[in-house]
Amino acid sequence: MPISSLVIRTDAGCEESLVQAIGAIEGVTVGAVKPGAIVMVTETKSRREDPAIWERVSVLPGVLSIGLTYCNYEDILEGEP
Amino acid sequence: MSTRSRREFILESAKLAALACLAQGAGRGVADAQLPDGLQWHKAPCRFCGTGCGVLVGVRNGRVVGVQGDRDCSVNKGLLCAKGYHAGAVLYGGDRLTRPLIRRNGELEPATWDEAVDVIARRIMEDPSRFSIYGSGQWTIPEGYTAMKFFKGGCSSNHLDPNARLCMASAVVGFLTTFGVDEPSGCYDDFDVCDTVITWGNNWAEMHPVLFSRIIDRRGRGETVEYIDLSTRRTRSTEAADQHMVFVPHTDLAIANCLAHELLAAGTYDQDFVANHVRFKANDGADISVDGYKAFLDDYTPEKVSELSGLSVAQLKHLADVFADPDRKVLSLWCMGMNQHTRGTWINNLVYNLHLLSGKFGKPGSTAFSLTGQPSACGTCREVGTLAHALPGGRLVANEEHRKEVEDHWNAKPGAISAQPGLHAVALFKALTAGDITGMWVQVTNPAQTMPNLHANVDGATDRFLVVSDIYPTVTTQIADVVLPSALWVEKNGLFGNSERRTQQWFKLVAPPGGARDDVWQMLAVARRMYDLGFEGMRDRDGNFLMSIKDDDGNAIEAWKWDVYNSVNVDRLIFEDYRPLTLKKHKDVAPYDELTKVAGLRWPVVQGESGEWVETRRRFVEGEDPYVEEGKGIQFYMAQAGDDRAIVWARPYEPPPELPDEEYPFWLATGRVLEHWHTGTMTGRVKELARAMPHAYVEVHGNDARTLGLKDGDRVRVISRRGEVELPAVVDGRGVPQPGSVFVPFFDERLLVNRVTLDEFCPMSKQPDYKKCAVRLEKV
Repeated sequence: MPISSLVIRTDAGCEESLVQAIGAIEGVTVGAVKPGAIVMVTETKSRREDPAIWERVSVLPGVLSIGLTYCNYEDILEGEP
Repeated sequence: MSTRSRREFILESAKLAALACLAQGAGRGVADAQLPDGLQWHKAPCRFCGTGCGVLVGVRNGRVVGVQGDRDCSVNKGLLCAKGYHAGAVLYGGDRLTRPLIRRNGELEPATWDEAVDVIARRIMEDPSRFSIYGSGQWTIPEGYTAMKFFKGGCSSNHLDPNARLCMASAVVGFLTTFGVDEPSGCYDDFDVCDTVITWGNNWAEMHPVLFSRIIDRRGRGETVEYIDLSTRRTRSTEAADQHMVFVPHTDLAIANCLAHELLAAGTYDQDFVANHVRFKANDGADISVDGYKAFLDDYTPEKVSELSGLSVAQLKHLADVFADPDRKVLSLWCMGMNQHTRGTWINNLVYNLHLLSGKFGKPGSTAFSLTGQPSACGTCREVGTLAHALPGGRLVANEEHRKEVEDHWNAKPGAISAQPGLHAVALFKALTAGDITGMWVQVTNPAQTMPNLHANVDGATDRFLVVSDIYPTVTTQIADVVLPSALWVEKNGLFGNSERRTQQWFKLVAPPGGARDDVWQMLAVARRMYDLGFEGMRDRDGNFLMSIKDDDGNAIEAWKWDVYNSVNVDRLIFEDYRPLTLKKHKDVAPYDELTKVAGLRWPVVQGESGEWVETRRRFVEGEDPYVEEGKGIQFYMAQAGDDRAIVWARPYEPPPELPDEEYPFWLATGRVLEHWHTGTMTGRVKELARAMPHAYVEVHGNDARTLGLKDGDRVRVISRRGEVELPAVVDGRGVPQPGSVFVPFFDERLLVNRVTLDEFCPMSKQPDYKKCAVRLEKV
């Protein structure tokens, strides 16, 4: 299962509402919250799900940008030809 | 370790990586930790665009299984974009080329490496001066240098040009004509302190997203950064813009002159900077005075340019005010929108004009910066000089002294390098089609998809002898006579050079699949076969193999043998052979061994007093650039006139070669999309990306769609004087062209928009204009 982490930059004051919205997405946990930034960790069934989650998060009100910091898809790639 | 605890460990690692990224300067930390079960992380630059993001590549059981942003790399500070996420997956597409193929009786059939090498060597030897190599801004530095030595030194053929001719040649000639030397003087650090960013026809939110995020992140921290999107199309970048200024295609020339007009007319230009560091030239190269330049600008009043460009007078005056404000730090950015232009060199000059006139140059946050689309367009094509007219380190084939220096360095026979520049990309393919060039070796690129006006420039070339080195089947391998399977990215050692003069090194981390082999080895093997067959060009002055690779003790190694090549870091030896050639024009790259320790160093890199190697953030700036003399402040020390001054050029507006008319009423621009990189050879193999963006389309403005009776998804024929392509329409989608314009991405090999494009090019840079031609639309 691919595991990734991302840094979400947010408008000031939007962190709390975004934590709720992001936390409600299946496969996503909020790793940390700082002023103007949220750490999001995703654990999905396939790599195809990840971009869809990013897209969903990127359009939430208060999200300025999302940046990938880490991804590990070892069980998938090791199983591919 | 149990599966569960391993999963928890990875989850924790992921979280810590993001937290460390938030804590500036946290270093690699987690990445350096040795995970259980042999997962190890190693540094490399990203394989995709020219940003040069530092990546840590996770390898386990001989496979790439993850990536993370390198927090020690100041380019990206630990962040990656969506393409970076898939950087590992592109190695593992199911149809990787794994053995050589030779066309026999019309079919590509498996062959041995010995057979393929022999066939290629003999064909080159038949007519070496009319054989060519077409390379790439994805060539590593050693690959480009090897190709240069092979063809220019060994075959006396200067018919060597890269696909970078199609993407940044105008930037090169722009730099050369303004500053006397190529490549940006500023760096990415300027993005962190500028007050205003102006993008000139550039969608960096999708094409260079990590750089774009630097500005967005600054805003998130409460900083005010004005962003002006000057373009012909609404894109994702526009969403972040304070002002979107939409201009008529090609009128950027007039807009830039208008801003200069305003600075001169109001006297708000930086008179000290101009007096000390600038000279003025007319378009024909004659020196002119400030007054002469002012007179030239008389035609570019805001009122006249507003009428031509579609920008309002207020918008033009605002842009001029940005440059006129002495306290405002201004960053200009561009990429293909300016470079793919039949006056690409001129528009590069004109943007430099604005920064020189306003003194917004060489100060942190103020610079004019051309971005690149390929990972080593700068490091390989521009620094090694894999262009038809060039030699390593900024030298020219037409210059006798330069040729002699390189021949001496290579120990090549005097006169080995031809004084006649080779053919540039478009001319090369026209000559191949006509039969004036008898054969071509293509490496790391896909010209049967990317050349403009394919019918005229590629279709007729199928009768010639074509060798293609690639990693996956492409439309170019389909027409090849010999296909060579290549190693990709971390399947080989490599070095790239990014947009900010940063040389980046990586080690081979995993084995290439099947029988795939490095492009460097392929060239060494063919060159050696030519030597063994008695080809004189492959003998140096002493009769030895010209392409010989020597170890640190000066002993030749048999690197043309795959097992020997694999047992030695040949990249290091080639790079160290190349490195002395970079000194001439003060492009001093760092020693290989220094580059192994860090996420890249920006040249010129010189040794400090205590022996440490020090990079240069800003060129031509005292205190930063070691070649600027004390007391000079700013010194353009490579100025062609030897006066240390940059040139402000009086370049006029000139209409494009093809304008919309009654028969073909729309402008067509082509370009890239977020999901795919260039021709989709790699990203098309990533199922997730292919699913997200399965095919090309034509973007149409809603007003035009209504007029034409089109709705989203309708099939549309896009027709020009040269050809046509049928595509689904996207109406007011992610990108929105202005009324009267359409946009088509070029990634899709099944829907070749380059059957439609124009092959007119900038007469100075020879870079074609993919952004403007006339088409009509027909609903199918």
